[in-house]
Amino acid sequence: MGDYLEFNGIGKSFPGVRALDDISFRAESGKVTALLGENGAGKSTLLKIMSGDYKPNEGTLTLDGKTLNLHSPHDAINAGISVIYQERQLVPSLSVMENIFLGALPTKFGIVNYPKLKADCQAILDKFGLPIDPTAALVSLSIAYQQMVEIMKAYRRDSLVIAFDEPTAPLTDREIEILFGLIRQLKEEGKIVIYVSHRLKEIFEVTDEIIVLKDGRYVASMVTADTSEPELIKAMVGRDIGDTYANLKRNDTIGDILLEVKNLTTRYVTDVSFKVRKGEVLGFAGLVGAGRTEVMQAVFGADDVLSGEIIFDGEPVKFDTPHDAIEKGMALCPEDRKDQGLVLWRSLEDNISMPVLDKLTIGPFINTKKTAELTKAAIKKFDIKTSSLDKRVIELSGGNQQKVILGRWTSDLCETKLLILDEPTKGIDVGTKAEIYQIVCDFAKQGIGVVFISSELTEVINVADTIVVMQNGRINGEIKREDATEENVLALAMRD
Amino acid sequence: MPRLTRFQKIRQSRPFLLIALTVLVLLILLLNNGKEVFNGGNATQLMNRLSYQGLFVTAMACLLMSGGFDFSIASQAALCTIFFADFVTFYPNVPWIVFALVVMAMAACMGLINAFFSQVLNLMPFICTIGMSSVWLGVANWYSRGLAKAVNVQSFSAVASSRLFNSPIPLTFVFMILVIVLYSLLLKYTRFGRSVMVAGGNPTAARLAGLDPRKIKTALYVNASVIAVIAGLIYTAQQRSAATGGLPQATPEMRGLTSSMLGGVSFMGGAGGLTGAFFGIILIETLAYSLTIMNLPAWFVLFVNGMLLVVALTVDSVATKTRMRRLGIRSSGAGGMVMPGMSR
Repeated sequence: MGDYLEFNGIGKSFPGVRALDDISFRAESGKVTALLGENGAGKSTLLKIMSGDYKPNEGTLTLDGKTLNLHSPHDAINAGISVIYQERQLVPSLSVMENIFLGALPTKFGIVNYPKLKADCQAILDKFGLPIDPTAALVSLSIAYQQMVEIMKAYRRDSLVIAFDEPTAPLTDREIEILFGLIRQLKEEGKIVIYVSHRLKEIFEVTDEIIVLKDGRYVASMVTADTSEPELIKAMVGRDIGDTYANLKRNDTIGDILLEVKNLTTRYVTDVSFKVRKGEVLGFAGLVGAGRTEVMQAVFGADDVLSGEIIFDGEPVKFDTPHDAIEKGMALCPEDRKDQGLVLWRSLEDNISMPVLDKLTIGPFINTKKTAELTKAAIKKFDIKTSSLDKRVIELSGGNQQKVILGRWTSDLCETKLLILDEPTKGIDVGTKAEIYQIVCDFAKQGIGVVFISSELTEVINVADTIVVMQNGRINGEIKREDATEENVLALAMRD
Repeated sequence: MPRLTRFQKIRQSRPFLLIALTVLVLLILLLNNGKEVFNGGNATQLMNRLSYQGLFVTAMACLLMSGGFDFSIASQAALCTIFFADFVTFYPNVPWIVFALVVMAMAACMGLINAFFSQVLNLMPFICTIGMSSVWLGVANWYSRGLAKAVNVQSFSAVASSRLFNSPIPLTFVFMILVIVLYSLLLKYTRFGRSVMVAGGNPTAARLAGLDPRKIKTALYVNASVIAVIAGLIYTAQQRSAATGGLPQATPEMRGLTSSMLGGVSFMGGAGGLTGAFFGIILIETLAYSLTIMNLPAWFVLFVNGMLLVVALTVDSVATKTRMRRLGIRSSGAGGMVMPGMSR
C-alpha cells in the first residue's frame, strides 16, 4: 500500500460551536478524495487543521502512520502538506518563477541564480504542459493560470498532500478542464489529493472517493464510481431535495414592462438589450466574466453608461449614483456579500436599516424603536438565525448574511420595484438555497421584477421565467424556462 | 454563548479598563506625591490641557470612524491661530469672535483640500496628510518667521481663565465635555452618525445601499479641521500667544490617535466610540501629568506616550485576531489590522 493521510478522531470546538466531532477517515495516495458537505459541515475547519492554521482539540493527524504536530502553516508545508485556498497566496508583482520558488530560490554565492531558476521552473511547467512564461509577471496571468502557478508551487515543494478548497469557483468551464487535467496528473504521480467543492458534477468528474460531512460529523465514505447524485445529496442534507424546484410556488401572473434596457454599452459590455416585466424572474446565465454583473451595475448607477437607453417604470432614466436608482425603486444584492454587501463588523440593525435611514428619523434623530421593529420584522420574515438585533453580521452564517441583505430591501419602508440579485446563493448550503428560491418567487408574486444572476445553470434555468444568456459582454440570446435545458443554455453561453 | 449581565458587560468594556488604569496611575501618584495632587493649580493645569486635547481626540476619532485620517490637524490649527493672532492685533476694534469664525472657515478649506486628495484623487490619506502637515507648518513658519505672536485681548484670554462657579474647573474643560457628549449623541442617534459608522465600515456596501461615503468623509474632514482650530484657539487663549512651536509640540495628533486606538476606534473605520477615546485621552494626560509631578524628565513622557500607542495597537491587533479565530474567520492582511489609509 502507498502513502496515506489519516484523520483519527479529530475534534475542534469554538466557543459555543462544536465545529468538528470525532472525524476519522483515510486519504490514500494516487487517489482524489473529496470532502463534501453543506456550508458549516466542517470542511474548511478540517482544511485549516491540515494547513496548521488550527490545532485540533482532540484526535491526531498522521501521515504514513507518523503523527503530525502542526503549529503553523509553516509546519504543515515542511510536513509535506499544501492547501490551495481560493485566495491566492502569491506575490502579484513577482514573476511566475519567483512565485513558484518562493522561499527556495536557487542561489550562487548568495546571489539568486536566475538562469537556473528559469530552467528549473520551465522544467516543472513543461512536465505539466502549461503554456506559461516563467518570466512573466504573475499579475499578467489570468486567474486560472495564477491558480496553476499556486499548484506548481505546491508541487515544487514536493508536497505529498495537496488539498484544494473550491478551486473551480472563479474558473470558466474550459479552465476547469485544464485544472482537472493537472489534478489527474498529480494523482498519477502518487500524490494524496484532497478536493473540497460544492459542485457535485465536478466531484463525479475528478474524484475517486467521497467523504461526506454534516454538522461537523462524519456521515459516510463512498466510492465515487458506485454512487449517484441523489444518493450524495441525501447523505449531505439528510433528506431528498430532488423536488425543490417542482415544489416552488411560482408567480403565474406576469405584468407590464418594468425595465427596458436598449443598446446599453459600458466599458465592459456592448449593445445589451433586454426587458423585465412586473412579477417576472429574469435569469442571467453565462460563464464567469461574461458581463452579467457589469450590466446590472450600470443599470443601478454604480458604473458609467457610455451609450444606450434605460426605461424604468415608464420613464427614461439615467442614474449617476446607486442612490438615485434606489430612490426610483431599484435594489441590488451584490455578488460579493462580504466586500460589497455588508458592513461586517456592524450590527444586523445597522445593516438592515442602511438604505432607509432617512425614513427612520424624527428630525435629524434616529427613531430607535422603529429601527428595532424594522429589524425584527426582517428577522421574522426570512427566519434569520441570530441571538439578538445587535449581533455583528460577521458572526452569522453565509445564508443568514444573504437574508440580511434581502431584508434590507424588502422592508415596508422600501418600495422596491426591481430587485437585482447577483449570485444570491453563492456559498450557501442546499437547505437555505431552497428557501431563497422560494423567497425569490414570493417577491415576483408581489409584482416585483426580479433579475436573478447565477453561475449555477441548474438553478437559473429552474428558478427564472426567462433566461438571458451572455458571453464576452454581449447577449447571445434568450430562452424561456419551458425550453431551457442545461445543454442549450451552456451551448449559447459558449458560442464561438 | 452565555448572555452577559449588564455589570459584566461594563466590566469588559474599554472605558472601564481605561478608567481603572487612570485610577491606578493616580493612586501611584498619591502614594508618591500626595500633597501636590491636591494642589488646585495642578489639577486646573491638567484640565486646561484636557480642554484642547479632548477636542483633538473628538476630531480625530470621528474621522477615523468614517474611515478617513488626517495627520495635519495640529499644523492647520497652528497656522490658523497665527493668522488669528495677527488679525486681533491689527484690528483691535473688531470683536475677536469674528476672526475666530474667519479662521474656522480657513480651516474648513484646509479640510476640504485633504478630502479632495483622499476622496477625489484617491491618495492614501495617511501619507498625504503627513505631507500636508509639513506644508502648513512650513507656511506658518514663513509667515511668522518662527516667532511667537502675542495675543493681548482681554476678552479672549478670559475664555481660558474663566472658572465654573469659583471651582478650580475651567469653563473650557466644561465646553470640551459638552462637545464630546454632543458628538457621542450625534454619532449614536442621528441619521448622519449612523451613516458615518456604516460608510466607515464598508464604503462599497454603503454606496450600493444608497449612501454617499465620499460626501460623508468629506464632511468629517472639514469637521475635524474646524474642531482642531477651536482647540487651537483655546490653546492660544491659555498661552496668550500663538507660535508654530506651541501646539504641534504638544503632539495633539499623536495623542488623538493613541487615545482613539486605546478606546477601540479602529483604523479600518466603522468601529469604536467616542466614550472610549475620551477616557483614552484622560489616561494619557493623567499619566503625563503624573510623570511631570514626579519630576520625571520630558523625554520620559515622550517615551511613555510612544509606548502607549504601540501597546494600544498590539492589544487591538491581538484582540481582533483572537476574536476572528474564535469565530473561525481567516484574518486577511497583516495580523487582522489594516494599514492606516488603506480604507479610504
